[in-house]
Amino acid sequence: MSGPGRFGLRERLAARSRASATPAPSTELSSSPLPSQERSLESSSPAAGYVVRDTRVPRADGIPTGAPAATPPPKPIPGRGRPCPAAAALPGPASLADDLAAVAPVPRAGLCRQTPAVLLDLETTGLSRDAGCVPFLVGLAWHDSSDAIVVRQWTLQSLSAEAAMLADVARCLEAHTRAGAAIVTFNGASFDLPLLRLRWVRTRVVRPGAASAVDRVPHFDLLHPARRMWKGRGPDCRLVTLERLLLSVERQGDVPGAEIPMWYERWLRAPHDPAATAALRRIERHNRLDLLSLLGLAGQLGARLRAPGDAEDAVRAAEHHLRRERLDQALAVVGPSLTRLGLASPEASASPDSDSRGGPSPLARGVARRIVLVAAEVHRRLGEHERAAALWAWVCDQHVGEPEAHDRLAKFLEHRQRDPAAALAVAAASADPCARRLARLRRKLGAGVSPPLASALRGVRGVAAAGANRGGAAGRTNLDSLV
Amino acid sequence: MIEQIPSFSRARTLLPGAGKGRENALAGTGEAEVLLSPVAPTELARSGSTEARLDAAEQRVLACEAVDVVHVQRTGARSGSFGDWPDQLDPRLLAALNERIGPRPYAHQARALASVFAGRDVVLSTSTASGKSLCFQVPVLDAVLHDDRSRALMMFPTKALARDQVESMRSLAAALPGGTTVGVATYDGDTPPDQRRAARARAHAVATNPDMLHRGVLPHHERWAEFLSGLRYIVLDELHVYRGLFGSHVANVLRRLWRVCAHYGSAPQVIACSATIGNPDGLAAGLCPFVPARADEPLGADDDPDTRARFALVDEDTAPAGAKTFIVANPRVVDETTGVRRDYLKVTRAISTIMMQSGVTTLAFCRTRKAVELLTRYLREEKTRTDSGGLAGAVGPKSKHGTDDGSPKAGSRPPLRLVGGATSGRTASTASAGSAERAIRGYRGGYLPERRREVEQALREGEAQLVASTNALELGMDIGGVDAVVLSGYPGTRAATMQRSGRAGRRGRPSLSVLVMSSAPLDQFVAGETGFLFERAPELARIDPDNPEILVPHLRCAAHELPFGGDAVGLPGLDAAEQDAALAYVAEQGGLLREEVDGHARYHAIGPSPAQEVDLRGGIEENFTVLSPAGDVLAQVDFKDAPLYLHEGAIYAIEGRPHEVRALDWDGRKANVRAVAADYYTEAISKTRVRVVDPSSELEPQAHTVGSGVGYAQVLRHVPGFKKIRLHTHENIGFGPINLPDLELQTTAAFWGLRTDAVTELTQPQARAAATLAAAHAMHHVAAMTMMCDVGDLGHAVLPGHPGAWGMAIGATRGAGALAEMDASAVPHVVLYDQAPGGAGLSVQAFTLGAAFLRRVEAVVVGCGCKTGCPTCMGPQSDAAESYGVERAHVAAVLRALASEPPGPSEAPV
Repeated sequence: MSGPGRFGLRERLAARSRASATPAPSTELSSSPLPSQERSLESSSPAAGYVVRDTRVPRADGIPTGAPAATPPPKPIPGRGRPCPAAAALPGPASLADDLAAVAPVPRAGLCRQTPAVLLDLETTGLSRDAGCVPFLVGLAWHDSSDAIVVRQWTLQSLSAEAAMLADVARCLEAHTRAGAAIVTFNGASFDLPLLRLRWVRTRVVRPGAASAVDRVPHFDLLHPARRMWKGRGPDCRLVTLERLLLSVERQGDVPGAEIPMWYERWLRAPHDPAATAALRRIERHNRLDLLSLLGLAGQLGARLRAPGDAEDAVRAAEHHLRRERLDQALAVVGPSLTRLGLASPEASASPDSDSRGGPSPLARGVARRIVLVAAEVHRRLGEHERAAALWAWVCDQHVGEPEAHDRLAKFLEHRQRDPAAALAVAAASADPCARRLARLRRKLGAGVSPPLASALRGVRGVAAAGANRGGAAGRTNLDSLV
Repeated sequence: MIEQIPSFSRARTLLPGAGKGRENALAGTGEAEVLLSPVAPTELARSGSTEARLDAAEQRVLACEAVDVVHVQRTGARSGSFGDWPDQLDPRLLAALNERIGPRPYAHQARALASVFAGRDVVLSTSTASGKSLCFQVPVLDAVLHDDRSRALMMFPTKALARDQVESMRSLAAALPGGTTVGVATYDGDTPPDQRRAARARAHAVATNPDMLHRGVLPHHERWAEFLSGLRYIVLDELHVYRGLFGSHVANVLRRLWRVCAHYGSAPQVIACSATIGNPDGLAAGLCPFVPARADEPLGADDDPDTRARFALVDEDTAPAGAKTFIVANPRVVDETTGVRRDYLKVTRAISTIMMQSGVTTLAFCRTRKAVELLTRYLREEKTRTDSGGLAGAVGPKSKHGTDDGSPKAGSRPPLRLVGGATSGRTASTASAGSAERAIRGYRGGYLPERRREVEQALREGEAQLVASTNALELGMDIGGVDAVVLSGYPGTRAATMQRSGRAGRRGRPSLSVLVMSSAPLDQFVAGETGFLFERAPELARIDPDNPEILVPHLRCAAHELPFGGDAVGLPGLDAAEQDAALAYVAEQGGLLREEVDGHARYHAIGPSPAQEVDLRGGIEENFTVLSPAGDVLAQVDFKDAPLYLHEGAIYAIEGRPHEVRALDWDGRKANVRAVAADYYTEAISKTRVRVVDPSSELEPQAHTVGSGVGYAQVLRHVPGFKKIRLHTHENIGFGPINLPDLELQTTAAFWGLRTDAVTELTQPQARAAATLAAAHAMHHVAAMTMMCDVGDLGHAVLPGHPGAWGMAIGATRGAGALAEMDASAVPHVVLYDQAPGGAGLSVQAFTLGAAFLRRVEAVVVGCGCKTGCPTCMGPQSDAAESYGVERAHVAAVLRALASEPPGPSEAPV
């Protein structure tokens, strides 16, 4: 049917080869055994097509004892940071469990106290997640019983061994997750885990449609919480930036991520090429550092989500908790800042400042506004509308025109207090008034007159006081401290 | 100065008459209506049945002065015959079919369904509107009703067809009793990401196209694992489209699909539908080499055991059909000495007018997009004129602007009012212009989908009386019935001729087709031997999936999807030794990673998918967008056409309405246009430079050596300017410059050199060059016929010296520059090259046929019926005959000389 029958495919290819203007590349692929790595650390023979390497990092000194010989013991270099995270910056198992619990709710049964989590990071031959994107290096890290961190790395030496290697990875992951460990990644929700799932299906480790070792397991992707905490406070939110910012790590001789696929392919084509071999060692080191930094990041994140270092942290931590409807945590992290503003509720503050209006605020105005707004939102969701109203009133008073505060307070006055006059005064003073609300309030008000903003806000004070009294039990608000 | 550039000739072939003194003289008097006998149109249009109107139209075509009717083919009416729905059909589906289709399917449908349910892979090849779609819809729905995990992948050549079929299938699925849902979804470049996820996860049947399968599905097959592991049917609609280079690519895409299915453990059954071609089962077997041979099937006497046993073929059409009349009309010769005929586009216009006046709904198939625009515009003007009072509104071709020649600026010209130029009844004529716009429509690629749908709907609902279309309407879009089809020029194959004329006469009504021949060699050959058209079987559709230029990139894609070697599934249709050789070759070239595992080679590809760089239809550049002043997208233009159609000052027509290009943003791939009332259209001038690099004949690339061989060609197209050509008269009224990047094509080529002393009767260099030009034209056309490819798949050029050095292609015959080039052409060389970027092995194959090929060309030239050379045998640059005394005998002598030229020192490669 097809083609000129005279010529077989081989003859036609030969002709094409003759006619080809481009000479064949000089690199040749070797079929000889792959070079051995540091054998003391390997647990698979090269014949398996992949190498498994364990590196133990005792938390006592933070120096990976199993580091490749080429790596000198890391020392902090003045002004340039450390080559890898300090031991003290790496949380222990119990602390990690708490850190993760601060990031997101953990399962009712809780995380395993000895090995609360397995950290996971892949190095791949591309970022596209199409069929040619091979996870050629899988790194997992966990705490072992002796309070050291084990970093286990699978490196693919022969592409044909991908199925065997990924099956081994799946077994290791399952062993830990079945014992109650969560999975921790950086951007794993959109890259590492979906890619692993696809590769497991492709290599028939997992049946199409069946659950894999990373399904139905608690997963903490720290990228988004980290963005919430640090976006805009550094050049970007990549892991290498965060580790520099938070852990004072300055990597030395690191492989830029974008070069990794190129180097790996070069190594595959020429395993004896010294440059490629060295690059592969550096890629493995890069992956170990990523895992250690990820652990350090989890510690930083957990610490700041539980006890923010400054007001900016407090706002961001509260917003993070608010997103997850963890209102008590949100309230807890804004408490100290509210106290400094003199806005704390009685049970949270022992010494209410009776008048903070004129005096120099200990917090920058912008941060103060955001923190009060977050606190108000938390109270609103708790159903403590009067308390929320008092906080909005504070913002309206301090930042006249602030749209969110005016908007919220106007709604409160209109719908909860049924006071269209005051609501109109508040709504109209917004920098971005809602025309429909104004029209509706004017209609409701009819011939009535809306009071000046100041008196409307004073009215809120009265209302809040009444609400607090109605609520009895000393109330949650210290009204005099509010406005 | 103006050159005939065969390789990028689209702009020039739009109007064969343009720019040539002799034909212009004709054009001046060539108004359509002078060709017609006067008949009161409205009277006829309203009277009588379809039959009566068709009869009247036929009589008027037969009596038309503009044409010689060379053949009338009549086919009688046929009543349908019926069969039964298969027994094992799910009762819910049977109920739906009884409600939607009726108690009995056509006999051919019943036969096809029986074969499918017996587990055979089936190909149907019956006429348009014979209910082919039902033959795959029923098994797909039935499979889902039996097992909810069953999946079907349906491939259509275009997005529009896929969308149509999804709607049709959904409506059948909706007729199933409540509670049963069958998900049918499209998956193509227009599908938004969330719907893509839904289609992968939930749809039972997915409609896509080969390009999407190649780029969007296979490289991500892991995401489709669940779908593919349940794949029960592969549906291939419009199978005949998958031929030639495109078909060879699609065959490899299907090989890859099969491989991935095998990986996930499925072995789907194939249901294919084709228009009438000579070898539907052979084509299906070629496209699906994985379909197993059925040793147990009894073979007919003339069955090819290799192909027929693979697919069950259903090709007897049992749907009722009306009587068909097919008229072959050759435009009359107007100059006996040169054999020049009336311009076929004008004749098309005259025939279309007859159809309109007779009140029959008509599809006019044109060969080019610009022809569609001109025909639409001319017919609308004519209808407006006749509707608003006969002659009063005639826009005389020379009546108004005859003195305004040569103005280069469009803006400086007084706009010509299109409607009712001098009539008194302006309102009436405006209204009739509106009705003309509704009654006469254009349809072609490049229009936005919404516009195309609107035209399709206007045809279905009877609002459109005539649609001028390119082959875009050839495929199975649902357009209801038309009464008549006018073919402007021979479509190139018997199969396409039948397919297009089959658009007429749906639902058992009678129909009329008129084929108007152009002066192209192939057309005149067919006009001379109408038996070629009616007595021979439709062409075979050939594919060559093992063409290394096509196979190698797909091997890389396939290796990227799943590794080769070891226990991995191979590419079906390649035996193991061939596959190993091919893989070793690609690995050697650096395209694959080779590993040795237990003594066996394994091949991998990693990194980004090579599928992104492999285009199934040739050309991967982004289209240009045509924008209105308000920023609305009006149309799309192919990348390579943009310099010709979208340069600043170009007139770009949409359904005949002229738009002037105000600004072209080359890097942004967009052009801003505004509607104007221009009385001219534009035609870009293109010049081509060609060089054949690294010719395998290893000749010294010196201008005075002679040789022949194959190699890699670089083709540069430069567009220096454009002409403005007045409507109707087709006279040249001005020039403008174009300053756009040159387009470069890297491809494969063959070349033949002509020795100085080879043809003793041709001593003048110009005469030699002119004769060689004519020979090259004929070689191009005959090569296309021989290789079963489109004329546009190949290009040709004549270079003044050895092609190893850059040479300006010698063009047509005017201007001092062209003359100088011809003077300099000591040893003219014919270069035949592939138009597909990277080459497709076509010109190389022509070369390997050697002298036999050139003898065949010579036979076509000598066999031409004209006296001293005509566009048929000498190509469109027939001025050559006059200027340099080129005669047919000279062209034949050149061809003989080329044939006797020994190939270069090395053995001619394949």
